[in-house]
Amino acid sequence: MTLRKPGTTKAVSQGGGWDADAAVEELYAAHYRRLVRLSVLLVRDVETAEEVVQDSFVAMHGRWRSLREPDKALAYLRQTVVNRSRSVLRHRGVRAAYAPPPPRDQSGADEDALASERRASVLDALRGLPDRQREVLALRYYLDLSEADIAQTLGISRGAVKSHASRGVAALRSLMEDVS
Amino acid sequence: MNSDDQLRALLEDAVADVRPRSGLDSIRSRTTGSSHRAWGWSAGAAVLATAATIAVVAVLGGLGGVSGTTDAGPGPAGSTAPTAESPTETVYFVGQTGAGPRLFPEMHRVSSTGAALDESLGAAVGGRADDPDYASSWPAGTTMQRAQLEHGVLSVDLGGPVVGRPAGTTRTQAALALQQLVYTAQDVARSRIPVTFLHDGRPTATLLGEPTVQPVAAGSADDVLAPVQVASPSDGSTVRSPFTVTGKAAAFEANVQWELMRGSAVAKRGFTTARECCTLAPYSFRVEAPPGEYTLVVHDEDASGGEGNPPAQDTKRVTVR
Repeated sequence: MTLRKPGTTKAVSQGGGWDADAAVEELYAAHYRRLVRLSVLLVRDVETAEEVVQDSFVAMHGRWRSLREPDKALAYLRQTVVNRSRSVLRHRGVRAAYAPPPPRDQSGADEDALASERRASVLDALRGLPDRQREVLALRYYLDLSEADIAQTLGISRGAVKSHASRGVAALRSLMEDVS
Repeated sequence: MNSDDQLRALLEDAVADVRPRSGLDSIRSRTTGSSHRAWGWSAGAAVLATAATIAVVAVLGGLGGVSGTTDAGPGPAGSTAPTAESPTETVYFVGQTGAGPRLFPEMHRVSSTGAALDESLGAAVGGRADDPDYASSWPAGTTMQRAQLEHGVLSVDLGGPVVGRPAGTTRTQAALALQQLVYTAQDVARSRIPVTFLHDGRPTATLLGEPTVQPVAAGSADDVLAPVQVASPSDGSTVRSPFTVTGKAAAFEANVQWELMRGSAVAKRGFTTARECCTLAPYSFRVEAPPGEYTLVVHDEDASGGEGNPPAQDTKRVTVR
């Protein structure tokens, strides 16, 4: 399931529209985990990501009257998660810099240890990028959004999306060789 | 694998082990009771109206000198720009918004850089805001004894009846009162160090009933700060037309609307777009108006229609010369 195409649209048209509470429940069920993971790519820290996404759901609930459609609501959630992740980084600069790595399976197997290391190195590399590059990479390669959708989500031009993407990709190139 | 697929795999894998705890209960607890919020809004509006009335009385009674302190500059830009002889600092106050009480920043002059922490926190605790819509959440009798940043510890020492939570104060109000001082102290100190609170010079387990054993960190700006803020012109200032209004807003689709009111009539209205949607982002717009006394109202879009949060606003009294 991608965030671009909510599989819940049908239920809505059949049900004749949700109210704000129902929208929260449905979108939560379908997208909460993926949105938290998106935010982890942006802020690194899982607890912070959970807070950002929960806040975004609360904000979406408050705006339901003007959103009404699940597609719009999802676009709003995405945009809010990205913007709030950025503003959390700005405001909690100190905490983010010293945030512990996300909790992992501590089974001790070599393969797990390797996987953990690889994950940490990808998240570290993302944290090292400028905000826009990190956001463009996460939206394009984690959420599979189109250039146009990314431009709209971030409020920047498609040309800017392209240039942020190519710089971001170049920065992560060395890591990609490890997983190929 | 081509490089696009490699990147997809890389990012997918990087967060594959993230299993968030359920957040539904927490979200539900914050989204139920819209009717309660609607009530809170009318109450807030009433408070605003009362504050405005008091302000008028104060000005007529010759107490206008309080807001006169920010009039020294040659207009909105001058009134917020730091000068060599009297630096300005950001002091946070509590005001009503559609989503409940939140913090509003206001620029205040201090006598010197060395006195900036003490004076700014004193103004915050005492509620000495230029804008009559803003106040302090600290009870009468609270004193600001000393605020300092020393050896990497940012501390605020208070006196008065502030250890327990006063009757009639909610936990939200108490937490916001602490945030008022945390935000002010951190802005003045140019530091994000959590604030160590003291009572009469000693560590205290609580302030207003909120735990203060550990230093208190700043809450998220989107939760603590007002969603629509006017930074300039300040309340009570005199400007030349056209003048520029600046501030920050966390508005739906980044839409910020404004009206210039003359009494209860709308003299001018317009809208602008904040730099980003849904999180506090800067906006600015220019207003042209004939000379006169106005109230500038800046607010987000009323998209809720009674459901969800009512619009948030900030108002400033402005004289156009």
